[in-house]
Amino acid sequence: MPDGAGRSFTFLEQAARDDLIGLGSQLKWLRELKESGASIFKERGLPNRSDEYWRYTQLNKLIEIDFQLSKESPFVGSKQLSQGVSGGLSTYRIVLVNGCLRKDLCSIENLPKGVLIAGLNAAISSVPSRLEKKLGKNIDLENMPMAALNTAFLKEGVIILVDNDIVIDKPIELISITMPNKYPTMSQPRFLIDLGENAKATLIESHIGNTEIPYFNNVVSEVTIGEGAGLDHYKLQEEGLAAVHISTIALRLQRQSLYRGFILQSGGLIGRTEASAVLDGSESDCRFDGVYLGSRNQLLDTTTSIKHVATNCKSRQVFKGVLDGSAHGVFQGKTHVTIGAQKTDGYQLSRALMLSPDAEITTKPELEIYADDVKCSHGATSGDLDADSLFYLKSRGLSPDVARRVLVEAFLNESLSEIKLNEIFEGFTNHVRGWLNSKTKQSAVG
Amino acid sequence: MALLEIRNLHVTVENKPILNGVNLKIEPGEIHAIMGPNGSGKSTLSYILSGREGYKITDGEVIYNGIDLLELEPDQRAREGVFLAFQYPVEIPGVVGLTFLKTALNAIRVHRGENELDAMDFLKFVREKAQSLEIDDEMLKRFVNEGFSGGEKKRMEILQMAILQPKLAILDETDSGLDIDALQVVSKGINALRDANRGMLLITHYQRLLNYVHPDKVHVLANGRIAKSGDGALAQELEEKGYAEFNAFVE
Amino acid sequence: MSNHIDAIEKSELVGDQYKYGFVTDIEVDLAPKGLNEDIVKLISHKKDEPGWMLEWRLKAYRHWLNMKPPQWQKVSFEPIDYQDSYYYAAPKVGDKPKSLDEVDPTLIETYNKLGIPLREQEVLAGVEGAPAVAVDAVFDSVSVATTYKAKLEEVGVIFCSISEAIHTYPELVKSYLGSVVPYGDNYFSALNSAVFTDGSFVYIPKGTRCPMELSTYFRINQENTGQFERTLIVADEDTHVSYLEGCTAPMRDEHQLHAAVVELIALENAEIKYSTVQNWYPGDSEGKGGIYNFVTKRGACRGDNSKISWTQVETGSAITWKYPSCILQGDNSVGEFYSIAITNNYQQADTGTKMIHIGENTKSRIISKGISAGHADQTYRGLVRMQKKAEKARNYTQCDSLLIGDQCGAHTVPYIESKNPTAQVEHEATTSRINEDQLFYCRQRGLTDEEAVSLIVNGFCREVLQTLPMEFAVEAQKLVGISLEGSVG
Repeated sequence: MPDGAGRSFTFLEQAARDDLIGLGSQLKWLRELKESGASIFKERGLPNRSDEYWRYTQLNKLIEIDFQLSKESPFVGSKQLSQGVSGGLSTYRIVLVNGCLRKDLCSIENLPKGVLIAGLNAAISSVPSRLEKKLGKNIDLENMPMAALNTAFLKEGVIILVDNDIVIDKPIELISITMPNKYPTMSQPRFLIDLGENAKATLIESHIGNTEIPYFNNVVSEVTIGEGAGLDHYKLQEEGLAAVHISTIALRLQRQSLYRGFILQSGGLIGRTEASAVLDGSESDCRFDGVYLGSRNQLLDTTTSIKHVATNCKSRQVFKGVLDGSAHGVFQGKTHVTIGAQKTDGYQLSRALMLSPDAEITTKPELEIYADDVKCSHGATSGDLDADSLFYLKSRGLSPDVARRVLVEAFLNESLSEIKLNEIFEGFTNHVRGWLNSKTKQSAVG
Repeated sequence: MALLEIRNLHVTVENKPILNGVNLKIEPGEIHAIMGPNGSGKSTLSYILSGREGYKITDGEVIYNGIDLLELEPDQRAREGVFLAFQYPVEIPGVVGLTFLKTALNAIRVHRGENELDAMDFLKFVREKAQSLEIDDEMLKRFVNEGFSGGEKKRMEILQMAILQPKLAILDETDSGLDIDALQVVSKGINALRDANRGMLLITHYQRLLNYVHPDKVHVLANGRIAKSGDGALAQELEEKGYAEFNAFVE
Repeated sequence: MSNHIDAIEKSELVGDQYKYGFVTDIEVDLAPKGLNEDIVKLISHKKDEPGWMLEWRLKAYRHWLNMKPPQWQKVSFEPIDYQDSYYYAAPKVGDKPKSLDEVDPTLIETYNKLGIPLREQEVLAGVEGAPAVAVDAVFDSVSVATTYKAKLEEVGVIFCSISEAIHTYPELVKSYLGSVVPYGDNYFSALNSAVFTDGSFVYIPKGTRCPMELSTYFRINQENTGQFERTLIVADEDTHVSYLEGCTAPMRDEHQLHAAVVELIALENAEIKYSTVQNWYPGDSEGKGGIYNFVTKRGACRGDNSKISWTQVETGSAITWKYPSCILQGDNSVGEFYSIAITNNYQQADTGTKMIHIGENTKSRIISKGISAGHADQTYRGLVRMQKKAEKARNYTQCDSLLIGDQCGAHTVPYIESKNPTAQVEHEATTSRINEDQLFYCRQRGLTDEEAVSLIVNGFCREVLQTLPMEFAVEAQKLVGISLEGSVG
């Protein structure tokens, strides 16, 4: 199927063949939703430089490789499962392997009443009318070509529906693992999370790659947080070295709701997480924090957009990046205050450390403001470690390597310490340490 | 004719009653002190008299010099001679104190039918006032209140008062947060501006300012009303007994 | 600082409507409407240009034909019909005037009406003992008068119209024109390169500190004319020059296009300070009429230790689209951008800067103050790029926006790219409305709403105002108040 620019995508052709006519085609709304995704992607094609929010992230590599949806689901052991960041917490666990739900690895027994966790596939058969009201309702496909592509493939994924006033006792853990396959694998998972009024939940999401061959993981999460509800959301992106991970998180916050998101990206050849929130109800509070750790020739992109529609809302975004090797970090963060969204309080900070002469950072913090009674600000810095601090540590006897490491850890700690759950904090901290250790080893070798 | 007469003033903020029937009369030349526990509505009264937004007057009236004060915009009141020394004077970055004061003084002078002062005359005038009050006018070359200590801000308020020469000066907790030296400078300024034609309303929580500035009348504001009035001795009494009596009254 | 503040302080906070909206009745020499190769040739012919100049114009024109107007900026307007405009309008003054006395008196009257700062007026009027400011006045498309030429020539400074420079100093023009802004750089620079009719040329020879401020006043008078001036300033090694430009236009119902190109070149140890007070007609309070100000301004710090400093006060124009930029090529070179942009009623502005750090130890500083009122929409758009070789480069950016009223917009879109770990970039931005407590404090001291706003906004802009030459600062400060009229209450 050629796109607007006349390029051809074998994987999309496959989608047209297998998928559009496949699952759910008997449901008119589902067929139409998938068709709208397909036609938007067909028209827009892969995003390129002329798309303002894709200026720095090129996906041409995707054209070169004949990605295919996985047909078989390889063996996965407990070692792979423990690569997530739940830090030994007891959780409700759902596992996808190569994009397919693996019931044998899930543990979702004894869910509290009023909570539905299921594979998208199964839910479409069992509760189609509930999904019809939610799926694709929250996402601006026209302006998100990769989400449109995911929509065209809508089949695999997970739904989490929480009724009013339910507080889930344990975190929900979502693990996506990619294992080696005979052909380059593509996954197009869709997550739908819907919290009713005053519901509370914690979601821990890990994307793990166990292969160094290329694969393509294009994830879409639709999240709705009802009035007075709250979601804590942790995401680890640790895909394989040659992977392309594209994730779109679309959030909608109702009155007095709270979202706290923390994203750590360190995997993939190209890793991009795009989070866009619409603050629909007054007094809602949205927080995105995160860390990205880039090395080799990675490109790690964090793109956020927070749209304040209602009055008296608050948003905070704090992102920190460390770049080594010839890695390229991209941070694009936008605070958008629409007309009438008075008393908005919006804050954003982006800081990047460059550890190598070949590293590169691109930052685009953006304010778009149409209401006057607001308090909005952003700040951005980039550069090397502070020379004075380095000198101070060295003068106390620390070797240059150790001194640098201490400072990098301190730099990241500011972000990590925002994590509320202790086990998760440990999980992420260990991950950061592991990354730093591998750096130290590399430089020791080099 | 009284300089200021407040009759049965009722005020609410976000539907919460703050002042519940205040009556007060200040004659030219008089200094009145309003004391009261925290939250009694003292600052609200100062903002109502100077015309700050955010307050709803549900009943009563305020007659100043024979005119209905509540009808006037804040700047019109200032031009008519109402001056408020702020409890927390605001910082205005980038605006030089002298520019600010000259603009203000000339606006008031034009309103009074006097000619505007040019830069030279203005500077001379400011220097005289500052010297007489022993306040350093160097601060006026800086941006309005920016980076000033609490004491410096209060001194500047007194200097501004001396320069703008109001008919009615309202001093909102001008003594709070001052050390003894600053308190003396401020008191001296207030006394120097005591004048047969000028009325003053001192709003204060503590009695100590009144050791230096002797009021003609002292009122206790509690529960949004004048709960008790008297002479200087009342302030002394409050200093000894505290506001417990009036707090009880609130309950 | 204190002298400066005194001057600002002495100025009054008075306001009136757009006072430059008069039309001067002067006979003009007008080329036919529309744009084609013949018009380009006609312009070149009228100016008796050498062949190489015409060739360059034609190349630019042909290139322009294949270009599309930029779409990315955050402004909206009806497409411009480039065939419905005059590209050449010159006041009929016969031969070029040799001195001001020979200039049409109505023209002098015009400059008086412009409210050009006092000392420039005196200069124009030839008052003895007037402070030395050399003025080049560009009326519609043609430079009509350049003062103080002889005095400048004594020290070797060349200050003349670009047309004259093309004839008299062809080698200088040839080697620098288009070297910072190539004709194909963007849609409007291509258009300008094809049809520019005049502008100023400055050359400061090695080791010279220009003894006076240089100043150009631009004025669009004729109906349906576009103005396409071209300014080229070359500061040779070890030099210093400060250059000011002011712009006004009459009130007209239809939009008029102003597409200028300014190129600055600073060689080793040279410093160029370029100040603009842009007060083109902004349109009426309903958004009718006004100038489209689509300008390309760029400076190259080619030599080590060179410095280019842009200051702009943008209060006029229906639409402003400009990004005075610095290419910091020489080691230790410095770029600065100080900006005040005020949009009111239906004005739109998309303005900012680009700082391209190429050399080692280069430094840049961006201070942008935006004020949006009425139904206006304003965007700060800026690029800071640290290239791979920009060891130890530094940038500091501060963008503050003030909103007055709930129908306007203020946006901040910075692009920050760094490819060098030793380069440090620091960016801060805030958006808020005028502080209510400050307003009340001012009003309690007797200032009206408008006076209070004007005072507070001037304070907000002070850091930028201080970088202007003194008379300009006073003028600019008044403009701030005038531009915001009707935005409060």
